[in-house]
Order: sequence, then C-alpha cells, then structure tokens
Amino acid sequence: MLNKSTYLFFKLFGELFAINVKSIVETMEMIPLTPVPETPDFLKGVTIFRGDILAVIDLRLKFKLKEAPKDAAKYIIVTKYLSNDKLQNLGIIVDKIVDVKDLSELDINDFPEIGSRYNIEFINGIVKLDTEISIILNIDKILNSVEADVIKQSTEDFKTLTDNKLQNDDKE
Amino acid sequence: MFDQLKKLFIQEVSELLAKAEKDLLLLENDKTNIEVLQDISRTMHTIKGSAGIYNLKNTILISHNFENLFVKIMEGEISATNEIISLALDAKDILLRLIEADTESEIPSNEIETLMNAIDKIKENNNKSNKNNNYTNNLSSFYILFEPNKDIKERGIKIDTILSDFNEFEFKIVEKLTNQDRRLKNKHENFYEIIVASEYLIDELNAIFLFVPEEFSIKKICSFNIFESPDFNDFYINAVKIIPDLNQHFDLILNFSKAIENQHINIKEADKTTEKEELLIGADEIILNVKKEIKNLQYIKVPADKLDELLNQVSELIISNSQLSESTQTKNIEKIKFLSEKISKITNSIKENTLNLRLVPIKNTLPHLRRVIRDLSIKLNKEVTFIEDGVETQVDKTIIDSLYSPLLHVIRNAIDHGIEEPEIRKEKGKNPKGIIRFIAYHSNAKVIVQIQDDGKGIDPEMVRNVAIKKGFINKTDKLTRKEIYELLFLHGFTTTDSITDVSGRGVGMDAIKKVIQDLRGDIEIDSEVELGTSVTIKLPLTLSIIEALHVASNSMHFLIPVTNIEKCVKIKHSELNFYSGTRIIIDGELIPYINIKELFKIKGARKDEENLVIVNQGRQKVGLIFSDIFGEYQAVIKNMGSIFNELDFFIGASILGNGSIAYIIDSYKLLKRIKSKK
Repeated sequence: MLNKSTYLFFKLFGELFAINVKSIVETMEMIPLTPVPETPDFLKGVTIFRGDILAVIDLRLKFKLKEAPKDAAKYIIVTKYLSNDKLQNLGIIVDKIVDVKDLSELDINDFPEIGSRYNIEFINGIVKLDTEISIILNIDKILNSVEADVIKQSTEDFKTLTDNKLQNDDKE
Repeated sequence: MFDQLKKLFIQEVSELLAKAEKDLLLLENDKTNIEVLQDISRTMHTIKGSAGIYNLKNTILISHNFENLFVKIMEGEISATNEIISLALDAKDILLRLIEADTESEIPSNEIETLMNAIDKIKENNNKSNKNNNYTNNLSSFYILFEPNKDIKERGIKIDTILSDFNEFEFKIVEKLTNQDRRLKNKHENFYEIIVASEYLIDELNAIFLFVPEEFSIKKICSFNIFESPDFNDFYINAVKIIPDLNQHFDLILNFSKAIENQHINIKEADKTTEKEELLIGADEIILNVKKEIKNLQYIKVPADKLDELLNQVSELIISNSQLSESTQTKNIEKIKFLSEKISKITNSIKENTLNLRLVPIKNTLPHLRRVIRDLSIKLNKEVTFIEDGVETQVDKTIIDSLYSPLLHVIRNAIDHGIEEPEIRKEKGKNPKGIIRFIAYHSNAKVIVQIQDDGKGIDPEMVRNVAIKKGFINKTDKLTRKEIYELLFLHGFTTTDSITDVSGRGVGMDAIKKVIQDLRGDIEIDSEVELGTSVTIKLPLTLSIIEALHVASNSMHFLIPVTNIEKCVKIKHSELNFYSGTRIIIDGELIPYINIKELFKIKGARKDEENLVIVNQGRQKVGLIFSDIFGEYQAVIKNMGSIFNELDFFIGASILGNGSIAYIIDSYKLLKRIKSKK
C-alpha cells in the first residue's frame, strides 16, 4: 500500500501551505512575544512554551512577503527539528490554520521551478485539492536555514555596531 | 533499547572499577587486608558476570584471571606485591577501555596479551617456587563438539557408550548442554562439549565417533596440555560456558591457550615490552586516561528518601491546587489568599529539593585524583602524602564534571613544579615526603576548593621579572602580591617559563582559568617561597540558578550576575557627553561605557537620568547604561536553544515573576565580542 501522511494546512498571504504533522508539536493562537536583540527581522521574539524558551519566527517575513497588519488574527505553529542531534522547538507565525488531511505520496507533485516567488529549496512539492492547490513545505530545511540566518545576522550586527561606536578605542 | 542497557552496563562497570581502584590503592598500604582482597575478587567476579551478558571476551578473560589471582592471594598462595598491584591497576585501565569501546577489537590485542603474560608470569613464578608442575609436554589439547541427531537412539547408538570412551583420559572436561530448540533442527536436545588433553592424534580421536561421523567436530586447541593451567577448569565454567553462542567457545579457549603458550616462550620478551611501555606513558597520558574515564559518568545516584520527599511535596502541591480551583469557584478570597501562599511555599521547597538532587559530594572526584597523584609521584620520583579535608562538601554534578581537568592540572603542577625531590627536601630540613592537601568547604553560597602543597613555592620576584621580559608589565609598574600571582593566568605566561625548565608539557594556567570562568567561578594563587603554594578555586553552588541584578532598557529586561557588578551609579545625560561619548569618569577613573539601548537598538524614549552599572572583569571595568534598575533577583537559567548559540553574550534567559522574559548578560563575553569585531 502507499504511504499516507497527515498534513496540517494553513494560509499565508492568501495562499495555502501544508506541513507534515510529524514535525509539529502544537498549534496556538498568537501571544505577545519578547523581542531578541541582534537577530533578523523575521525572528519576532521569544515566549515561554512548556517552561522553556521558544523562539518564534514570522513565516511571511522569512518568505519576504509583506508583514500582516498588527491587528490581524494570527496563529503559532510550534514545530520541532533536529539541530546537532538535539531536538529543538521553533514557533512559526501563520495567518490562519485551515485543516488537517491525509495525503498519499501520489497526491504530491513536483513543484514547477520556473516562476516561483519562493525559494525552491524550502518546498517539497505541490498538491491539488478540490478547489485549491497547496504548497508542501520542507520544514526541516526552513528551520535549519533560520538558524543559519540568525548566526549570520548577529555577527554582522556587531560589525556595524563596533564600526560606528567603538572605533575611538583604537585611537587611544 | 540496547544502547540504554549498554550505557547502564558501562555505568555499572565503571563504578565497580572505580571501587576496585580505590581498594587497590588501599591494598598498597595494607597488603594482607583480607576484606579488601575479598572486595577486589568479588568486584572482578561481578564484572566477569556482567561482561558475559554482552559477550565481551577480553573483558571476561582479564577479569577472570584477576579474580583468580586475588583469590590466590587471599588463600595465601601468592603474596600481594607492588608489582601485582600496579599490574591490577593497569588491568583496571584496560578493562575500562574495553567496556567503553564500541567493540572490543578497538583495544590493541597486544596490550591485552602483555597484561595476560604478566599475570601468568606471576602465577608461574609462584608455581615454580611452591610446587612442581605435573604436566607433560607431549600432550595436545582438543576441542570436540558432539551434536547427536534426534534419531540417534533409533539407530541403536548409545550416547553414554560413546562418552564413556573419554573416561580413560586424565585431563578432560565433558560438559552436557541442553537446548530444546535443537529438536526443531532434527537434533537431540542434549549435546556435548568436550575438551581433552591426550597423546592421541586427531585421527585416533575420530575413531571414538566412528558410528556418528556426521554429528561431531574436532579442533585442535594447542600442542600442550591446556589443563596444566590450574585455572582452566574455572575459566571454562565461569567464562566459556555462560556464553550462549557456541561458535565463540573455541575461540575463547584458543585465546586462553595462547596466553599460556606465550607465558612459556616470551617471559623475558614480555618483561621488556611492559617496561618499555611503562616508560612511554608520560604524565600527560595518565591525566588523559583519567579524563576519558570521567566523561562517561552521566548518571546521578539519588538517595531514595530525597525522591520520596520530593514526591510528597508534589502531591501536596496537587492537592492545594485542586483546593485553589475549588475556592475560585466559590470566590472565597481569604481561602484563595491562604492557598496561594501555601502553593508558593511548596513551590519554593520543591525548587530547593530539585536543585539538591543535582548536588553530589566532592569526594567523587577524589579516587581519580588519588590515582593521578600516585602515578605521577612514582613517575617523577617524588614522595607525596595526600590529605583530604571536607570531602563531603556538596557540589552540582555539572560543576564536578568540569572541575576534574583543572584540578588534575593544578595537582600535576604541584607535584611536578612544587614538591621537591626527597633528597632536596631532606637538605632543606623538610620531611622527605611532601604534602598535597585537598580542602573543600562552603562559604557565602560558594564552594571553595583549595589545593595546597608544601613545596618550594613561587617566587613573586621571578614572576615579575618574567612578566617584564615578556612585556606583560612595565619595569616601573607597581604590583601587589595578588596582582603578581594574577599574572600567572595570562595567556602565554606558562608555568613552564616561570617556574622550572621542564618544557613542552601540559596546559597553561590561562586554560584552567578559562574553564573556571566558564563555570562562573574564580581561581587565585598564593604562595610563600619554601613554604608552598596554594591554589584556591571558588565556584557557584549550582549552575542553574544565578544571583542577578534585574535591570531594563526601556521595554527589554536584562539580568546581570551580581558577581560581576562593581557598583551602580545614577547618571544624567549631560554627564555622558565627554570623550566622544565613550568614556566617563567615575571616582577619578576613566571608564569606557556602552549604552545598551543603542547597542541592541531598543525602541523607546530616552530618559534624562539613566543608570550606569559598572561591571568588572579582572582588571578591566566597563559601564553598561540601562534605563531602570529593579533590584536583585534569583534567576533560574533557561537555555535559549541552539538557534541563539551565536548570541553567546547571553548566558541564557530567565522568566521573571510577572511571566515576562529577561536575558542574562555575560558581560565578559559581551565585551570580548565587541572588541574582537573591531
């Protein structure tokens, strides 16, 4: 028999996306976040999740889309991924959570590389539903790229900061 | 599943080995102590048994032989010598490596052979002096596996008759084994493992099985009588028989025979190799071995009553909690107040107890230290007495684990550079035996660990001269005693340069200091020439809670560990405008400062009056500007996750009383980072 997996469907900027539920821990309504200095814009901040610190990213910003209006209803999907063999959680902000469906491997088609506004690396495929199509995201790739972005950003920020602020130290 | 079991097994055996090591060191001073001898042989026996489950042949072989050896010592057949104890300590090291390796073959077999040869030599010497061996050399040893088919009786062949042929052999083992599963393969459930030593050739032995040619196999083990070794019977019963996989039996026995063979041929050669190898193991390697051992201790033993207490408190919490939700429905404010107070009390004591679970007595480090001291003092030809004080002092497990390597290096320095050779000590009028003292105690929510020696001490003038020569300080600099000894921790200022001519070994004191600082601790040296040196390490009680100052820059909250804070000053904006806005004069001192609001680009209005927190890293002071100071806070440190690994200027984050998040600043890393990016 064909392998079936369960997917969570959500809306982002009017488009339908899906993530395999095996990398999802929990979904919840948007909550206030504490910003973290020296991190990229799409990293919206941290919150407390099950007694631990959870970093939350805005998927719209990560995909370089327009940020949602402040008062728009938003949701956080808490995902898990492996980083250096350790399980880490990361929250992603989406516009709306739509549905949960089983898909077989046959339902998923390759994503056309041409004319996409998304980074092809983050996409596993595309699936046709009754009235819509949905993009299946490669959540592991996205999460690992987030980690790399944060590292890059914090390094650069310090460079500019020290260039402006503390060059006087050298003169002495 | 298997990994988990294997981990437990490694844990168990390393504990046993640590115990054996302790016993062996005890035995060194009291060579006829029967209790200790019993303990050692029992430990070896347990290891042998455990190893049997995992089919670790070499582990079985070594532990079996040492068990035997110590039983013999106990029975007075052999007397314990330093040579035996050293050998047993080597065996312990090899055993540890064997069980920790993924497969036993990772450990070179020649090391094991050397060890086995040495032990056989001891037994051999003993045998020679005590009694005559009654073996003949023209015998050969054979391994026979007799596996009759299910229908053997129907064919009119009696198993007993065949086996009775072996009665005439003087040296034999005929072992009947049973396995019901064999019936499925058309075999009789009983089968026989036979080991004989005889003058016959294989062909002649074949004749015994004339009527069952398909149902047996003979292999030659060796060309001498394997039973000459008085241990062979034991070895077979305890080590070979318990392994379920028959295919390995022959290999095990073959190894055993080879060990005996080598003992005849290579006694002298083996002697040489051991000597040479011993010389090769330098002091650093001893430390390396011990460090490797330590890595794997990742379990904590918790007394059951500690857990029971915790469980009681948790059940109390659950009861109070359900009472509370009941009270909120009836809106009984008084009751709610009472219950919330009760819950906060319980939560507090749960916190204390949970942290306590991680505390272990510092004496857990000592067996390794004792061993290093013993091995090093022998190697360096010095005599050392080790005195321990306050060994029950409780320290967080993580801290203990990271404390090994600094302690080892401090002790090595003490033996290598501090304690003089016995002759020199005599000339100086000192006791030829040097003293290394290990002291641990709690003071002011800190753990203090001191290593003192009564060696030649460090001359501050000499340190000063080296520092001037190396350009660390100017000739005109006036330094206090304390500051001079501080210099020893500077990078590139190795003890090698300043204290002795022994060169090219070990880690400098700067590395030690770094380890201690990473544990949020501090290290100091004090010394008196000719009286000795004392190294003091101060450490926090636990790594998961930190005493911190709660500050904020507009909406962003931070915590600064109080240990780093020198003072807090209120300051007006107009005072910050000198020196291009990078320096400020406080108490006559020019101090660089950073405004956290600008550094982290925090939004919000600028206040007229801000707070300057002066943090102190060694001799360097830096001011950090915040908008608000709230007061001291006991912060539970939360890891921020791998995504923030690069933000190493935050030790972690903590959840404040109102549920919001504050970042804990590592001021040292913050400064280092800003500087390195220039």
